[in-house]
Amino acid sequence: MTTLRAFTCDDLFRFNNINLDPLTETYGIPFYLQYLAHWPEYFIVAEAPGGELMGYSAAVLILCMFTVMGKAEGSVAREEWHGHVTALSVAPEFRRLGLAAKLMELLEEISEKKGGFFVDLFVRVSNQVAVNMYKQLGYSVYRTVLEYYSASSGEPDEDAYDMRKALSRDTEKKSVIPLPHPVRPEDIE
Amino acid sequence: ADYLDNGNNKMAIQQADKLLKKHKDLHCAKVLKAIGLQRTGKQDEAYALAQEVAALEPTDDNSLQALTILYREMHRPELVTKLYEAAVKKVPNSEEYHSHLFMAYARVGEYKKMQQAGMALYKIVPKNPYYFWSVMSLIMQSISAQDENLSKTMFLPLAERMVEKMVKEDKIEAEAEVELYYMILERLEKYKEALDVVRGKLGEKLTSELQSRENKCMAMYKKLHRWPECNALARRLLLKNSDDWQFYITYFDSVFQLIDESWTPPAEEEHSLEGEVHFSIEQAVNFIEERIAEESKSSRPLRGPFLAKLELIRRLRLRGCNDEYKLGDPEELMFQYFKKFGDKPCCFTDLKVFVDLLPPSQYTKFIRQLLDVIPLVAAAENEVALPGDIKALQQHLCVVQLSRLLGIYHAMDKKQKLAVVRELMLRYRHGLEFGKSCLKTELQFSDYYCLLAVHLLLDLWLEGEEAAVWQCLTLLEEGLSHSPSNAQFKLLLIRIYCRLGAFEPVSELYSSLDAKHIQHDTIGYLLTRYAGSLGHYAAASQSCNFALRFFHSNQKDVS
Repeated sequence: MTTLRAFTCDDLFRFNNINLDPLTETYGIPFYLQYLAHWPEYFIVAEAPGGELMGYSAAVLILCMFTVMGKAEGSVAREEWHGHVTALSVAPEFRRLGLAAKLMELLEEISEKKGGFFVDLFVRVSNQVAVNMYKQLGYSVYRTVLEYYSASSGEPDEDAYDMRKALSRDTEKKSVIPLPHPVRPEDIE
Repeated sequence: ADYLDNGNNKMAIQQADKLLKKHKDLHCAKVLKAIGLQRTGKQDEAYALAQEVAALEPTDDNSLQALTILYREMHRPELVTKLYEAAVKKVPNSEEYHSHLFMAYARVGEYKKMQQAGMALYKIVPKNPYYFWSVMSLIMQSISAQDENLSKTMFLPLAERMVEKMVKEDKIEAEAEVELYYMILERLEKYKEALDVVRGKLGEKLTSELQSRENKCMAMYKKLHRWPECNALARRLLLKNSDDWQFYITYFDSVFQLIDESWTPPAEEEHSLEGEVHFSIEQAVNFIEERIAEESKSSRPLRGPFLAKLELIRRLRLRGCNDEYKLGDPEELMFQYFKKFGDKPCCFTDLKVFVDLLPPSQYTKFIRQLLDVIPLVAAAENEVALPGDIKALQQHLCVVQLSRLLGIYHAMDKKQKLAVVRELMLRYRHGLEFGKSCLKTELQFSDYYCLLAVHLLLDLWLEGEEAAVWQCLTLLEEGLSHSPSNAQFKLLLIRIYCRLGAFEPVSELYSSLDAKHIQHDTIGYLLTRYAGSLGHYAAASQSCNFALRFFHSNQKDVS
């Protein structure tokens, strides 16, 4: 049973059961505060009946160039919005409940409301569990970003998959046609 | 300036001096030099230089921005306000300078001046945000006012009037403005008005946050003690999502309030603004049973309705009327819950909330009942019966955790406890089979067995069994070797080592947790408490440094 509600500052003191997972990144305070300030509607946390935090998600809406087929001839590049999931994590003791799927569903719903064309996210290439989960939710690999994740201690930087899912506005599903070659972090808009 | 960005302060100072030789009064260069000085620790020189420039009341962008950066690094935000006050005096129509002035005041919390700056901005450029910055400043004044009366009788009403003016002139644009209006009304305890705003046309703008309108309405209904509405809204929201726990709580709260008030629905009209109301226990029972029936049809049932039934039993018990409604025994319901959800890790935490409904005399029977439904196989006559797959293992784990919670182990004597520890470790090692394909970053399925064994041993240790603690350490290290990402193992190890006075392994364990930022606060205390007193000064200073760095940057970021 899950209460889904907006993330608050106090939750920062309670999320260790989620963040001590090795694949979950703990960011500096400014990161979380920025999300609380600018995108509170996207910053959702799930709480269990006993009061424990089960998982949370954070996202933003980004504006960037996007190629769309014009009515007349040829394609047109316009600025379009898309949702970008920055964080999604569920504590180990609350997994296999469909919570991640629920959180993604909410993020997609909000992005649709805001007129987004698609939703995308970055995930470590080695995180098979996550990659498979997103595939099941309808995401596909759009491109690989080389050495996106900088390593903590002596290990090499790791590549990321940029996975996308088209929303209803992208009627021709142009946003998810995969790129033929990988890119580097500096190439991302 | 590039040199400064790269942290190359000496070069920066040199470059600045070069420029100054050519252009003696180039303000910007002076300021950049000051920043370089400040960063190399020459605070007083930096300050003197900065004040020299500031006294000239510069109005060029570069100088102003550079001085702002400098003052912020020196933790002297009040100097920034003086800077921009001078700037706007000289250039009164500059939207930009007024904005910066507003921000400067915000950093020092000068709310009244913020309010004035906001309105000044609005006069220059009548954009809604500026007007509402002013409104927000009024709210901040009311929050920080020492005299609560002043808050309620002056600041908030003024803010309210300001917003009302915009509403009348139909000038409300952004969602945030509606949110502000709601906030003001709420603080004035004008709950009815707040409710009207949310339910009215303005409320339509509240789209971003999920269920924002419903949540606000619910909050207002509660404050106004309008239980019919509370109930109807909760009911509707539960129909949409029968897993949302907070609304079950509201639903139950409101039903019982209505019963206590002997509320009955009006003869002809709508039950309430929000629709149909449930005002009797029978209705509540029916509602929950319907939700359960619905979920039972689904292939992936939601846990909500089942747990709600247990919650309802608890409430009825508190009121002393459970028997009448024949909802069933909690033991039976929890047993059924276990059968449905026992293979999920959360089963334990879910049931934990309701174990107080079980009579202590029934504990052992309950546990045995649960054990009976788990498919366990004994390899031979006298051997321990083991789970055949992950699901069974998880179910068994749940039972073990419940056993500990219910105190079944606690009641055992030392010999029995040690036997349990042996059994748990046997199960742990057996369970590793299932986790052979686990990645380094995943936890082993049977880790919990190991943890529970260790906790049992810790209990023994605390009761005086000296040797137990050594076994704890070996078991934990064993667990960690198979499951290098298990934070719980690491945390326990840290705590035990510290209590034993062995600090050395602790720093490595802590860094393997990869704790960052706020975790230095929420977890770091485990180390910093002990480090100094145990004589490991280098390590102590390192971990204190981490913590210090965090707090330092935190101060910068949060102010």
